[in-house]
Amino acid sequence: MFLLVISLFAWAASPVLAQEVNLNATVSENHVFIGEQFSLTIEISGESLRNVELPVLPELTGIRILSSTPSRGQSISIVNGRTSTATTYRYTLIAQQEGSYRIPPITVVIDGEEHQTSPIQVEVLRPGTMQQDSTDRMPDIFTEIQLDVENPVVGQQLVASLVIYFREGIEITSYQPSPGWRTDGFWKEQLENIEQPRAETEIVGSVRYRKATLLRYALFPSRSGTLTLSPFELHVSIRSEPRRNDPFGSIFGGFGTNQQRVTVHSEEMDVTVSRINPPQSGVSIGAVGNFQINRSISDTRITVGESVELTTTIEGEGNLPLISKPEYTFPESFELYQPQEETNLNRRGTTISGSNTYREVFIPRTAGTYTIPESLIGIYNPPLHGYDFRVLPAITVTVEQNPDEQFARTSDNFVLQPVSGLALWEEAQTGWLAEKPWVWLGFLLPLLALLIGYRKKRFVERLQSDSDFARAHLAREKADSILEKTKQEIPNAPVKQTYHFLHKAVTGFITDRLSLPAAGLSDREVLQQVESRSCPEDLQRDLKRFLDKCASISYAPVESEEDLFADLNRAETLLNKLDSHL
Amino acid sequence: MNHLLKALLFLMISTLVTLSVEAQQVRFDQANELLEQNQAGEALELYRSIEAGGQYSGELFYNMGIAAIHQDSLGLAKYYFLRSSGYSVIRNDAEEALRYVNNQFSRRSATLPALPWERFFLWLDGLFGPDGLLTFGMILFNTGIAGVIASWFYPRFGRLLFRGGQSVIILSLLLAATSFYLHYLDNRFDRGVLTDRQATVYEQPSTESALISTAYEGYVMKVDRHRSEPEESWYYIRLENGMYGWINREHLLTF
Repeated sequence: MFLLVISLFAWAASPVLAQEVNLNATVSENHVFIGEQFSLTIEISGESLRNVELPVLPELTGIRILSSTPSRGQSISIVNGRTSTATTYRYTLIAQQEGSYRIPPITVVIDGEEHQTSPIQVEVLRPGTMQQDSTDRMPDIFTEIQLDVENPVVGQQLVASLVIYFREGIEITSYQPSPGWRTDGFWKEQLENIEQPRAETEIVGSVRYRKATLLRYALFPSRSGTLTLSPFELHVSIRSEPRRNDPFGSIFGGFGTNQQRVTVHSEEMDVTVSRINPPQSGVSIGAVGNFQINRSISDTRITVGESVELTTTIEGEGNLPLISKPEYTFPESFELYQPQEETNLNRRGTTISGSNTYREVFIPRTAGTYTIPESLIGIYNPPLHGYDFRVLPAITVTVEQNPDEQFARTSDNFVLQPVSGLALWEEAQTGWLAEKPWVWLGFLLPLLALLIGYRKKRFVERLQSDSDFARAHLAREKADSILEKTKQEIPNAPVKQTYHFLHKAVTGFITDRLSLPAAGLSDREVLQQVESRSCPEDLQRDLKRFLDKCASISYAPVESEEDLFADLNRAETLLNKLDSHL
Repeated sequence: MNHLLKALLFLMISTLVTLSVEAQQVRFDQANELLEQNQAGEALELYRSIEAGGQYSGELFYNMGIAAIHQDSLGLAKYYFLRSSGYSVIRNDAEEALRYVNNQFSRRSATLPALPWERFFLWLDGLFGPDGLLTFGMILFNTGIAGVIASWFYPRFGRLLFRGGQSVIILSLLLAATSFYLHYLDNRFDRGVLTDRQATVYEQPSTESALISTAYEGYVMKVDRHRSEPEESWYYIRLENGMYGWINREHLLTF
């Protein structure tokens, strides 16, 4: 029981024991002149630091410590309920001899444990080397693109850092990169800064500048040759103290202490990119960097028509955006669908890392056992100037027949049988029906029938509504009827009656045809009407004789039957002639 | 004597027709035997000679499709099965065979559904054809005209006959117009089946022009004969996914 309590106590106390301590040593200037003072700052931070001893400075060469007792500062911060303490020791140093010196690791005992800082490099320069003219020619502020690799290969990551240089006395209050930095031939990704830009000193052309890295980009060349990085434009707000040789700066700058906004450009830069030879064996997917590749399948035992997903994951650091999907040799009976690609990039730090995931969906159409063969993928490793290879093992898929599918067959189980016996033959069509004339007749004849029918309809309607027209149209029929009746009665009827009927047939025909009153007209008036219709004179003469004979028959001797028939024929002839002229 | 001559003439014509039908049936049977003996190439040649003679049948195209499958030419098989599916006597078997062939293709085209009016005209074309519609239209036209004429002389049913006649005439004219439209469609457009493994569809009738898409074996497409006429080696086509472009004629079989 006692041991258990001790163990629990130890477990509870372990976070305190395992607390993280940050120890950092920095100098105010990395480049100093002989006789110039600069400061060395040691910062110790962590949670619940109870006992921090004074740092022990090692022996320094070329640099002397002005005060062995440092100034001490302490700060306490509480974030999300967690308390952290930071203790700062600042020493004042002075450069004594020209040369490059290294401040060795400094030991600090914290809560009984020894911790060491990283070494610091300091350059001590001779002031006499500075030329006043060149100093004046140097700009107060400028930018530069710095690459971490000089001669990259296609696909290799380069870190392009935008570094700003500014003279002592200038303070950068803000900066704004201008969009449109052209990096033709590169895939560009902006890296996320982990910490705030920190300024350090550098001597450029005998002039001391402070420099700070503002932005970092990961660049991946996508082709070989000489590629150009265009000038990078940066808008910077600066605040400067008046120069010694510019006594009016402070006056005209007013209380704003010479605050102004300037635009600076980096210089155009050419980058020579070498090509990569393809690997002797295996497949290249254009990967350059350090990657791991995995390939997996959602199911290895499926039925025909069921979809399966093959997932390939490429994970690591390098040119992820430029990597192409590994191509596999799939069996013929697999129906492939458009693969899906997903990229996750981590832009924090100084390199691009993350993963590319490719999901390929396929559907087997026939049963059987199929193998997606082993793949050997080559990944170019720039430090080695050669390929690393990753082996993707073969995947075997067993496809079973789907019992629900009605028409599932394999090539070995071919069941389509040819049709034998009598076939129903037809001749190839040579033209279409509308090219045959009888088809058009089939449409035209009814139109003709329609026209005739219409005319007949109009005629019938007129007969029914127009009595004069009906009389005129039926005149001949009526006259013929009288003549026929007369002809039949000749042997028995009296002669006078016969001639009366002949007279009636002829005059009735004329009055009906000419729409004259049916009764009350004398023969003379009838003859006048015929004459007015421009009938031939011989017809008028025959008509007159015939009518005269009919009128005078009462006074004539008895006619023979032959004479009667002759006059009947005469009446018919007259009617024929009149019919054609009236 | 005259009747005797007519009878002899009829006998001669019917004998010639019978002999002709029997000749292609004999060749068809021979080709079937070759196919059953796994001599698909020879069988296909014999089938083709029947087709070249202008004699078609659903059974002929169906067997040609099977022979093409034996020759591992799925695109060609699909082409023949599509043709045989146009014959009612073998339609069911042909459609089943088409499903089988389609299942063999590793790549299939996305298919845009046909517009309703396109489906309607396709249905009419399959059911009656332009000739059938025109014949039907002609009969209705005559009937309608007769109805109108009768309405003038039979006043008792005049109104009914006139209205009925008018309606039938309008219907007959619509049928005739549809028949002409179907004939226009049949004349202007063909169906094509890609018989090669794959072919590129170009924006213009030139291999130098921009690529539109890639068509694979078995893809069915609509061939615009009218627009393709000026180009000797190219067809202007519409893929089933709705894309238009030019394809080399040697990759396609049309019907």
